[in-house]
Amino acid sequence: MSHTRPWPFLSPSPNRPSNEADDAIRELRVDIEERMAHLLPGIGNWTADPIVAPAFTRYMFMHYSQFRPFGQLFGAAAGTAAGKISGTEFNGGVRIVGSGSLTLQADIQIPVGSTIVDIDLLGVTAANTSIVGNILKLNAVIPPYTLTTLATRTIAASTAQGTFSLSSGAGIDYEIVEGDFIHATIVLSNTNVGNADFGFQGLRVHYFAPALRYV
Amino acid sequence: MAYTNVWSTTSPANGDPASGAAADIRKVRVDLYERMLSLGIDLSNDPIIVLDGDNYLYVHWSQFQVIAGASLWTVNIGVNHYGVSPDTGAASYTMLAPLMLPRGVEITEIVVFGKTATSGTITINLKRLDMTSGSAVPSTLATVAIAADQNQKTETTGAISVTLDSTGATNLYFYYVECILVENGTGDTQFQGVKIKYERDNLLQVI
Repeated sequence: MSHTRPWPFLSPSPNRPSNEADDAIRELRVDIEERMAHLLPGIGNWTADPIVAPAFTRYMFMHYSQFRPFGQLFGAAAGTAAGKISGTEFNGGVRIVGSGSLTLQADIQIPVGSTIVDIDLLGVTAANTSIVGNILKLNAVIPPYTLTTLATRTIAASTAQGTFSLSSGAGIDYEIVEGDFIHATIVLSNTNVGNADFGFQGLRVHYFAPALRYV
Repeated sequence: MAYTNVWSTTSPANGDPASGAAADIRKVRVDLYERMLSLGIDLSNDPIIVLDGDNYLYVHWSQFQVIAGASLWTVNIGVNHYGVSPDTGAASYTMLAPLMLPRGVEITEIVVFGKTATSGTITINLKRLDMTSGSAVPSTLATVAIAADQNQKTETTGAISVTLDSTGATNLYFYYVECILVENGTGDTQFQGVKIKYERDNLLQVI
C-alpha cells in the first residue's frame, strides 16, 4: 500500500492555523507508522506495549553441500571407493558408494532466541539403503557439557522421495539459548555394492526468529 | 554531513508560543529523516528501500564441497594466488556450496575470482534445486565463467535479477553455487571464490 502522502519536509506550512497543530501531529504519527510498516512488515500495530515482533515463520533450506563428511578431509570424500560420496547425484540428492556408511554433519546457523518449530529431511531410499537424520544440541555452558537429541528419524529402505519431519510431526519447538550448538548429523548407509537409487537433498528448518536480532 | 538540529527531548519547551508548532513539527520530520538516512533508510521513498545500495557476500573456496572430482587438492600459495586447485590430471571437477542468504533478497550480480590453465576454465552457476513435486527439478539461474589461459582474473555476470523464493512452506527450493573447474594437469587453474551482490527489501530479510 502506498503511503498516505510523501514525506513532507515542508509540512505543516507556516500558514497552517495553530488550531490544526493536533492534525499535523496525527499526520506525523501516520507517516511514521506507515514507513515503519515497510521496514518491519508484519508489525503494524503500534498501539501494542511493547510492540510485538512479528511472529514471522522462517524457513532455512540447508542444501546437502552445506554438510561435511565427518572424519574425512576436504575432497577426500568424493570418489568411487565404498563409503565415499558418489560423483553422481540421485534425484538431486547426494549419495554414497556402497557398501558402507558415511556421516555428514552441519551446523544449524540460527540465532539464539529463535525457536525451532520442526525440521524436515528431504530424501529417498532404495533397497538396502537408509538415511538417518538427527538434530542435536550441545549445550556448552557448564562442564561437563551435555549432548541432547532434539529429534531423530530413520528413513528406512525403499522409501519414496518425500519430506520427512524429523520429529515425526510432533514438532521440536525448542528455543535456542545461550551455549547451544545446534547441529545435524545425517547418516547415509548403503549395503549394496556401488551406487544405489537413494539420495539426500537437504533439510528444511522451520523456525521463528525475533525481529532485528543478530542481523 | 552533520545533522541540521541536535536531537532534543526537551524541545519545544512549554513556554514556546503555539505559533511555533508548525515549525517544531517540521523540525521533527527533518530530524527523523536525517537520522534514518544515516542508517541507510530514506523515508522519502515510497515504498522505502531498506539499506538501499549493494550488499555483498563473499564465498571463499573453503565453503565448497567436492561432489565429483579429484581426491587430492592443493592451495597454490606458491604462485601467490591462494586459490584451490585439483591436484591430479586433466579433467573437470565439480564443487558445490550452499547459498547462505536470507530468503526474499534479490541477487543482482555474481563475480568469480580465479586463474586458468592454458586449456582450463572456471564456470560458476547459481543453481536452484526445486523439490516441490518430489522429482528433482534443477535449474541454472545465472552463469559466469573465466575462459582458458587467464592470469588472475575476475569475471562478472553483469546485472542480473534473481529473487530468492520466500514461500518456504510450499516451495521446496534449495539454492546453491556450483563451481566447475577444468584443469589440464598443471595445477594452473585456481579458484579463490565468488562475490555475490544482493539487495534486501526490509529489515526482516535476515537469517
